Amino acid sequence: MEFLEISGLDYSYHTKAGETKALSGIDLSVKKGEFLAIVGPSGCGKSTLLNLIAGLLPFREGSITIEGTPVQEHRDKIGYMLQKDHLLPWRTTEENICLGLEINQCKTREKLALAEKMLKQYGLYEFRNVKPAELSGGMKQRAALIRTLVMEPELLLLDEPFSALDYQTRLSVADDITTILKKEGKTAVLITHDIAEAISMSERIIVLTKRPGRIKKEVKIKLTMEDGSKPSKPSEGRSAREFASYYQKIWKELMDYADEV
Amino acid sequence: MLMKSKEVLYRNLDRTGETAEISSAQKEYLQGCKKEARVIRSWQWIIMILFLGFWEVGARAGFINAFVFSSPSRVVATIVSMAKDGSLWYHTGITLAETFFSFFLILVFGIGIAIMLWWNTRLSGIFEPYLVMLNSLPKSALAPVFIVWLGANMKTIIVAAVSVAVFGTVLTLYHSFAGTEEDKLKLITTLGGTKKDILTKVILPGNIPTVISLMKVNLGLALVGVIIGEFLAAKAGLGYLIIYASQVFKLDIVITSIFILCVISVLLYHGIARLEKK
Repeated sequence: MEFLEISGLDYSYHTKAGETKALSGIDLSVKKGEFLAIVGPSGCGKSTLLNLIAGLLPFREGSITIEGTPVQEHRDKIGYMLQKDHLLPWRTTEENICLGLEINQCKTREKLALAEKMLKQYGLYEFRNVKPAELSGGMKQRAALIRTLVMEPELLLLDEPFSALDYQTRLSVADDITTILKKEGKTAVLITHDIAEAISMSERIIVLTKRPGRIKKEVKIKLTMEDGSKPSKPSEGRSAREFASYYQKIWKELMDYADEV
Repeated sequence: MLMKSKEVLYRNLDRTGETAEISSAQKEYLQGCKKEARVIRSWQWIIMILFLGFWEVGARAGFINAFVFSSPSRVVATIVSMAKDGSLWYHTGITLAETFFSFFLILVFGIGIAIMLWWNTRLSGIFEPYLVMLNSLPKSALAPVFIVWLGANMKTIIVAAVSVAVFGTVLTLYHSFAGTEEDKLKLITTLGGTKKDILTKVILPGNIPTVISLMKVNLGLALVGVIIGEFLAAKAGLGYLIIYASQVFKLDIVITSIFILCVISVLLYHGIARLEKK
């Protein structure tokens, strides 16, 4: 049994203008500790898929399970990172990080110690008492990650978490976050439209078709550096030997659909 | 590492902020700002002194009818005599008490109803057109009706004052609540929060600036409502004093009451502005 299993998942949106089929026949499984990326043309329903995995949307067809039981029962095991940091401007860094703990009324001494440890580890300890307006973009995104991680989720869902950052910050935050997730041994599902980001961060990439989203292709990623070692972080992985060929492969998959439109 | 260097930069910024030496250009700029503020302040005094001076001289020289327009010295004399016999404090106190009480009710009802509408979208769908209608209705038209329903007493005055401001408050707050970024709500949901958490962690704290700016407007509106009410249904208060004194042609008292209202509105506004800074 895999950690996360999705089978026969269909999903449709209902609006006054009519019904839109967003996802069709999704079968997918993710191992514990694996980093999966999902790419697809815009509007292919990848964000919908993530919302479904997070248990935020009710669905009728198919099943999503974590360790064999429906995902709705595991809401507390799932962490979700949004596109923007959404730190609350009236709270300090530390208060923002403790938001989830407050909501779940589990602001225990152990959890607070964990929050403090993470603040120190990820270079935010000196900034724990300042408001988000005084943090840089990368720091804000790391604070948002700690806010998610301090809840100790087993599965982390990343919804284009870097798209609001400038390019350089983006690369370094991707490094930070991947390192953090590896170290904490978390299972992660990343949604992105950035092929390079997907290749450099993940171990496996799922390519979705345009709407209604179906799984078109699955690509296992294995990067090796010039000296034969594994890249230690995503920014290194970008200069790995296989990088360009993976890029071409996935680019081609995505372009096939662009031609059909 | 870019991230690291940025942090160092921030720290340095902090340090320079503490011990910085001010350059001559910065000094010049600051002096310019100060000078501009002085010029503005001077003009404000000049206008006031000219206005009062013209009024006083005109009244004494006879080209302003002091019986109809009163004069600054007469106003001061009236204030002194009213302060001595206690009527100044009595009427001002009544008007202030009514204003504060109405203001308090406006806030409680305004925030309470806005929360209810936000909580239940069906409720807001049903009531929105009614609120829009009540908001644009001139409330002074209602005051005579309130007298018939509630009697010529303080109840009428309070209800009149609340009716002036409460509908606008509800509508503004509700729209501000409903306009909260969708992703902020999602954030709370993904952290395991309920609608109540969304309300207490995001909606309410996020709307404190809106509430304070509404308070500024509402304090003024409450005063307007109280004076309308006092015109029609009071035996005390500045509004009553204005109506009573104008009917017996004691224009000194009318002008004095208006002057006191000016002072009250300035003080109230500054009170809220101070609250805002906190």
